[in-house]
Amino acid sequence: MVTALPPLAQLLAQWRLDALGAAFAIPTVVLVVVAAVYAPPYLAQERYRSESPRRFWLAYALFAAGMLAAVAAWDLLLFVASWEVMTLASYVLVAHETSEAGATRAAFKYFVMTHAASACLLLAVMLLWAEGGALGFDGLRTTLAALAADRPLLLHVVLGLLFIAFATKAGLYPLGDWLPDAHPAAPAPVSAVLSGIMVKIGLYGFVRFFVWGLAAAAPAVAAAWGYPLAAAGIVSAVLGGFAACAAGDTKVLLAYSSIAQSGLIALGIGAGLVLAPQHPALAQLALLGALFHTVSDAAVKALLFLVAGSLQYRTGSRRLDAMGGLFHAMPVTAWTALAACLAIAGFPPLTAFTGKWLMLQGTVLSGSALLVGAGIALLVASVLSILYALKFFSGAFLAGPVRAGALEVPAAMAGAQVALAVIILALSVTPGLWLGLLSGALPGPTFGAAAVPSGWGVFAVGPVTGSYAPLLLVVAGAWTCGLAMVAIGRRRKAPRAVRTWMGGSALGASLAPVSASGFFVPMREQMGGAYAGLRFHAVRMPAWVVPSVNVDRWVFGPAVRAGLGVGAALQRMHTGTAHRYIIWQLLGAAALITLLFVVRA
Amino acid sequence: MSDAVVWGFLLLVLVPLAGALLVRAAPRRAADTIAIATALVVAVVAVWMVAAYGIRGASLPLGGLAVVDRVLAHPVALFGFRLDALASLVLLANALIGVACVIYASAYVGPKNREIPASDDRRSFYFWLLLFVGAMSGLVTSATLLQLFLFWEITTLCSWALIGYYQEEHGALAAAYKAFLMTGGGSLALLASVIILLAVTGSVDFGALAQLSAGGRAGLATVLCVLLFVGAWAKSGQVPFHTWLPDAMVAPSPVSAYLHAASMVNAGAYLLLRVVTASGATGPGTGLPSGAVTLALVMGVLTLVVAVAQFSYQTDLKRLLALSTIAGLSYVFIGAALGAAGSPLAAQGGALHILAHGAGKGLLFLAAGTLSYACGTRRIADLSGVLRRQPVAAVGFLVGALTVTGVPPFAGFWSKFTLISGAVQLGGTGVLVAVVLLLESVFAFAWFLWVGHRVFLGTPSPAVEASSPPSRAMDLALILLMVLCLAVPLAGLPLASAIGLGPGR
Amino acid sequence: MSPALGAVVWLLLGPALVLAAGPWLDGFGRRVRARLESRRGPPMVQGYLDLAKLATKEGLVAVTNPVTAAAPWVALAAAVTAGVLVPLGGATPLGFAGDMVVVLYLLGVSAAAVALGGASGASAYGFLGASRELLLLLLVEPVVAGAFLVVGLQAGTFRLGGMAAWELAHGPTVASVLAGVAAGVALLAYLGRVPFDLSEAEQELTGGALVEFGGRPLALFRWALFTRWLVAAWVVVEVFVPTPLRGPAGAAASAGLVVVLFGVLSVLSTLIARLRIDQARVFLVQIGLLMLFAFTFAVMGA
Repeated sequence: MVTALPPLAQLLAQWRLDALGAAFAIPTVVLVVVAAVYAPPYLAQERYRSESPRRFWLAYALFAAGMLAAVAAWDLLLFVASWEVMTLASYVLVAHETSEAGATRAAFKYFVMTHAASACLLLAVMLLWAEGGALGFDGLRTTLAALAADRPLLLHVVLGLLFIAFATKAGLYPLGDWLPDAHPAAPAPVSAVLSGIMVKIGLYGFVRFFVWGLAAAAPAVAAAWGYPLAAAGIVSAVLGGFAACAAGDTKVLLAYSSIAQSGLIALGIGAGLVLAPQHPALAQLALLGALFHTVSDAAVKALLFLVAGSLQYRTGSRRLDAMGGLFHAMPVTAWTALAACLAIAGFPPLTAFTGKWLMLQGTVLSGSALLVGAGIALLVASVLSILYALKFFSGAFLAGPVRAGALEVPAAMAGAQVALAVIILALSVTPGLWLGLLSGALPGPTFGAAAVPSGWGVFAVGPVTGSYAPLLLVVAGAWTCGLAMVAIGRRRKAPRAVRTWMGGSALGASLAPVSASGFFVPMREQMGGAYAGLRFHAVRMPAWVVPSVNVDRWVFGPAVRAGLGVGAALQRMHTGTAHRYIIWQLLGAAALITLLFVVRA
Repeated sequence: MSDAVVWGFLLLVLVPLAGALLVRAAPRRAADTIAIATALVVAVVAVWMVAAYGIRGASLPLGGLAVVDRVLAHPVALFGFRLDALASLVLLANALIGVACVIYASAYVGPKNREIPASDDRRSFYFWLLLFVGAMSGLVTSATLLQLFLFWEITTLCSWALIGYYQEEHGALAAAYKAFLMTGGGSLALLASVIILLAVTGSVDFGALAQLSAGGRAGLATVLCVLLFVGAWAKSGQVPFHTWLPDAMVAPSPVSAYLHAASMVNAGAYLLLRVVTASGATGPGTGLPSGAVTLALVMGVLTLVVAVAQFSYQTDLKRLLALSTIAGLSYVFIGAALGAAGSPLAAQGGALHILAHGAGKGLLFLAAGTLSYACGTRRIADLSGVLRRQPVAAVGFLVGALTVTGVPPFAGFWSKFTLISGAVQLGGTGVLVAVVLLLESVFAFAWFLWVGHRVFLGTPSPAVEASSPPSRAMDLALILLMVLCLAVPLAGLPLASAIGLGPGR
Repeated sequence: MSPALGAVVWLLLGPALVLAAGPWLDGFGRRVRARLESRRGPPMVQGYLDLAKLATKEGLVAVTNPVTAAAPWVALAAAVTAGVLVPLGGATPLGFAGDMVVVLYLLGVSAAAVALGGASGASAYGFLGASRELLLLLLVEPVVAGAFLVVGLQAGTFRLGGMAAWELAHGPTVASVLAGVAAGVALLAYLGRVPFDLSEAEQELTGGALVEFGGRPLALFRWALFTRWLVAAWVVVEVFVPTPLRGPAGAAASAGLVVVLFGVLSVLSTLIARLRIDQARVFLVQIGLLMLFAFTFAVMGA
């Protein structure tokens, strides 16, 4: 029985940034800085003119501090407190546009859903404290092992609560229903940080508690919990992908894409947990893929949101239908968007392919039927990501009549986008370097360095057998183009751009409408909508509750009325006339004498 | 006992009394200054006492009455002062929140109030308010049940006077009378318990009930416990004596914030905590009778459920806050009951929650008061888009809601974490209670956030369009309370950790 | 020769081979169709002649931007790169573990590049064609990938060379036969041949995704399409019907099988009319169910 909370000074000193925490902390710092560079010109827009910049920056600083504190906390209480501070600060940021009803409603839904999930986390922490007697992470593995041995049911309850909490924050279906409302409603730099790194911190929770903690303490239990995690991941990936294809609003598309990518990372983590007891090498592959995908998706998703913000900045709208033909008008944005779209589509040699390929290796080589099914679903999710990446890029920059003018965004915003694109390219070209660093972040002894295969070059990725270099494919492709160019002859003149031919006459663009939302109409018609959102209904107690608990009506009211009635009766006796009083006195005396006689007898 | 201790205790009680008399006799224009100065002096003395003696403890026995000694044939300590960790927490709540409320009242109660314009003569208001400050300080630092009862009755009187301050308001006098009857009736039960305890055990110490139970007379001890509970429940607005609190919201907002959220209603909860910490945990031969403890726990949970169930029907902002106060106080009662069942953490959490909830709820009431002051209404349906007009009140409302529902880094998180952890430590039923408490936290949080969004965000309604600009004094009071909400853990956690269960504490 | 040297040689020679072989299939297919329609048909080298002619024509496009200009090159490069990863005569100089996934992915990339071309510009026909192309890709990719995964699951490896070797060693199993049938049928959709050429439906869409392209860009796109036909058919043959011969004899045997397969597909194309999109979806879902059957058998170990 614990008798007191640890002293505050001791509590606030429990920080430690190990390699796993650093793997999340470094992208956090980078994204926070980049988005902070992007923000000032963006917030000078008309729509945000009446909001307080001080409130924004205060909340932003608190948000960044909360995220870093969450990954650096080495104590359960500190972890929970940082988690909630992070949520609180991000709520203020999502609701930045206070006069817009949609934004405030999205912020409300976000805060309520994540706070309810935090309550689950809180209960899990309290149960762990009651069992283990200490709050530090140092004792976490021992506590989990003790629970697995003595009280397995309680362990499953705790793990279930943790699952709900982290899955909500990571945006996994269906708990992540707040994501498609909140991320579009927030200002673009905030969305970039939210999607880029905050949902990844939800996944950090999984890695810290389930992989770092549970897999070392109770591998069999961890393997059992890997299945629901992988299942939730794969469902999110596929459904998120479908919903992204059907979305007509740039930021809603990217929000669903975030859900899908979160799902893929969760799949990798879940597969790693499942495979750890029997196939440690494959488990390491899956986990490495998940971690690499985390880091790469942070940069890619953030860049995509910044691009969406730039598009909104110039066109005034978030809908893809309102954009189009912007490639020449916004060159910097277009090229950075191209890098990001190709990356998220998973084109080799760019980053997402490496991560997905590692995870695919881990899942399909295992031989477990469920995991192989997950591998197939991973492929479907990849195809879907090609689709919506294509939709985003072509809808915004390629399709439609070419827009004239120089519409590029201010230098700070463009610079932030370029910085992220450079990071993406760096991650793509040298995957071996980053994977080597990340393998140091895998928690031993289950996934530790002992299982790392040898022969990892900077430019290659070395899996279980053989090696694959993204650059190889680039070289092959370039050589092909060279050969084809030779065969087909050097170009004599550049292709000429002409007006669209429509059945014999050259029609204007207005008569041949091409809309991004039309792009996926055949798909929507054929595949149907798969993603239904949760709607909050007004909470109302049944009508009979209030009268039934109204104690005044049942108890005090009648009592007071009875008392007043007695008083009124007594008052009637006091008429004020003397002979009435004498009669009462005589009667009273007579009654008293009779009573005395009776008692005495 | 040293001179400093003596002076400290005396000043705590006498300075407000002197201030009350002085402000009654002073000219009208000086009333504000005298009141605020008095409150500041009390706050300084309280903080100094807590800093010096909060964890060490200090006591000042004052003996008894010769006649009682003669009847009982042995000396009985009937009066005395004592300061320890538990008393420090409530004393800090009383003193610091009092300063904020007095500053607030200097602007609120007057002709500029668009909801209820009152006269500019606040002298009688300050008289009762300062008298209350002194009575509450005395209540908290009492060392015996009898002295506690004396100060208890004075606070009842002050509450009656202050609720009925707006005499012309519809229902004000009736609400004051109802409050007086219910809390007074509870006080009679408390008096009966104290007198019987004195007669049977010859002591009015806080631990006397436990001694009675340990001495083999558990039945009588249970009856006395129930009588004591009745007094505490009536004072703190717990089921079934909770109906006076929502009606008491006709009082001026600083009164609602101070008496009916942060200070007076905590007296009942404080009494229970004091008895529990003096008695130790239940068990064969120790502590309070387990039947009484179970009853306290059940009534606490029942109160929580009943209060929260009525949230969704409220159209008046202050009635909603009153119901939330009832729920918040039930937390303390649950903490005390769990403490008696054997969890020191729960009792510590309950004690800290008095301070945390007081600061947060005070902030909420003052923010609501700012709205009614400026816009002339307190109906939720008539208010929207207040953020631009009254930014400090909006932030205050948010901070207060986050404090009361337990979101870090504000004070309520620490108290709720301690309390609910204490419940979980007990296992079994404790975990069930913990789940109920967490559900209530989330629900209350969602409701407050919804109300906050409804009232503060969006486009301004007609009442808000025509509202008056913010008042500096009221904003200052709000800021003071916001700072308090953040700073409570710094002093509160060490004090709460020093509270233990056991005889003789 | 050492593996590294062999890899480099293949890297240089392979693309040339793949580029050269693709267009022949186009001529062959058209010849087969013509013979069924009681015509003489074009010469077998018609594909090469078409490409040469297109190369000399002026390229007119709807929009000029680097991405649309690069799309034809990307389509071709992706298809050819997939081609160099496929086993030839039992040898895989550039193979690596899991390269089956890369091959399928690159073929998908090639199709997506075509769709990207169609989605640029202001033509509704091109746009619709591109969207149908992508929808087909989405429907058919799981079926084909699943068929390969079935074999890989049985073989315990996802290296194309390894899968072929296992098939050779263990002979046909229930699962791999079912998967092979599913893959073969789905191949029609994968290659975008009639009856699944709804993305180009000339009568509806005037050419589909590539309607706005002409000259060199169109030549490159069509070359990419021929290469995709070749690579997809080749990889299906190599995995499901591998030959025990090695070296040039093995390559020739596989080539013969590919020609036979393509001939069968062309016959089917001639005989069956184009399907509407919902008919295509229903059909592909049924094939998918067949593939799931195969999957179940594979898991059960049959």
